Amino acid sequence: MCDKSECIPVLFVHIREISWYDWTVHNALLLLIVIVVALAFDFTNGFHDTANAVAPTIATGALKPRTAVVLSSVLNLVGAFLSLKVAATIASALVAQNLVTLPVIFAGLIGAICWNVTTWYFAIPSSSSHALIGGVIGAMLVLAGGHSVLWSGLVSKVIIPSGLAPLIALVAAGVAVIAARRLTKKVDAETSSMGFRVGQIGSSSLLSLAHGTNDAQKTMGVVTLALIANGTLGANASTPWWVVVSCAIAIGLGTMFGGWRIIRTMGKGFTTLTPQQGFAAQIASSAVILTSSHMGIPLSTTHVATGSIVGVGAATPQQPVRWKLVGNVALAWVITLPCAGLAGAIAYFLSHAIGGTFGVLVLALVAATYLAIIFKLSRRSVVNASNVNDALGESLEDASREPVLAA
Amino acid sequence: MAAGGASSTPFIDWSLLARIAIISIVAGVGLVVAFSIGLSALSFSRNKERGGIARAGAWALTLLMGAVIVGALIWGLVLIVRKS
Repeated sequence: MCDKSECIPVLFVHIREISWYDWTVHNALLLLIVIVVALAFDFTNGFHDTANAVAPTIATGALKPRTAVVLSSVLNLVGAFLSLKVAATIASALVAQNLVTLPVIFAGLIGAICWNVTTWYFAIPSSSSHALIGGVIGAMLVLAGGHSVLWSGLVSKVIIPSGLAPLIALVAAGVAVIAARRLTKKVDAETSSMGFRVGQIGSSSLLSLAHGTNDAQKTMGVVTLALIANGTLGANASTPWWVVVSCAIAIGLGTMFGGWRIIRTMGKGFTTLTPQQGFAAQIASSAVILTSSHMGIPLSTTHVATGSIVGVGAATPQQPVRWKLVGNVALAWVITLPCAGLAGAIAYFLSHAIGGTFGVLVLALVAATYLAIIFKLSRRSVVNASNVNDALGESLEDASREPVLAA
Repeated sequence: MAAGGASSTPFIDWSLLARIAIISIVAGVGLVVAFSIGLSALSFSRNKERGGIARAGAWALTLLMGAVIVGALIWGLVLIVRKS
């Protein structure tokens, strides 16, 4: 037993130890939640963007749907290991890095996931990268106001390139398909079809690798940033191996899950693709993505792939483009940043209002419920490997009735 | 368009974007052209009505274009890895 004068300091130390313990546990839990949510985003990124590489391959019959998706999944997984530099553009060029906290990253990821899953439900090929950037910026705006966002970086690295990328891809693919058509005019249909289908397997593989490298890197960057923000890693630390492995597996699994709805929109929605068009579109996409990436301007794979498909359709009078659908998709691109930003801002506001790790947990449950509802709704009109090449559903046909009939 | 204040760093590097556009279009179109020429040459070389020299030339062109395509794929892989 101790007397009063001895017990009070002992009790004080004990309370301090408990608070330190609680703080550590709460932070560890918060970090764990952020990492799980980041991997969930990586998974949605995989299935949302599967279409970018495989939609023309599936639509032209170069590969069976399931084979194309599995091949793309493996190459996305491999691609994630090809590059080990942390892609921290989101942290370093778009928001004030010193202000980033775990709840901000969490809210940004929640905003991005919600937007990705919503656009997947509506079969709209929108940019997962823009959703992530929008989500993080939205949360940062609520946390620290407009000065925390590097607006010049946002305009010069995201908005301007995202406007130009589809146009460049459209021109490249359009010119390429016209040249291919003229050069293979005397080639018999069977040789031409077989040759371009074989070519599509190579071009699709290259696109999948590039996608795995680019997009898995973004999540690796986000998880590393979370580890730095938590103090687990020092500033400028390299990405731990387990982050690389887990992100690679998450994007690979997501790709294997197959975003069939978006694959159908890209493969069958914009125009009716021939093997020659599919090859030209995929080669043009690869050229634009690899060139821009090499020159330090990473573009949205979705925007480039869509621009290429529309380009080959526009250059082929016999198979007109469904411009109304293109317009709807372009509108979705424009609203991706603000909508994901709004979702990120609301997520941060709510989790902050509830407070602490509990707030983050509550929000994670709310987001999980929303995702479950979307998934349930999607079961009403299932699109999978067996019907991905079937006629489009009413919603897409409504968006593009005239050109379909014209074709 | 220049950055605000005294900074001379361009806000948007239009020349870089123009270079990306030109290289992308040239590379994309060039590869599809090479593939199409290779395919045409392959089809030509299979036609037994043509003369032996013409067919041999077409085979050579097919192989050349095949090498260009394979080289481009390898270069693409190098670019993917090197940007790390």
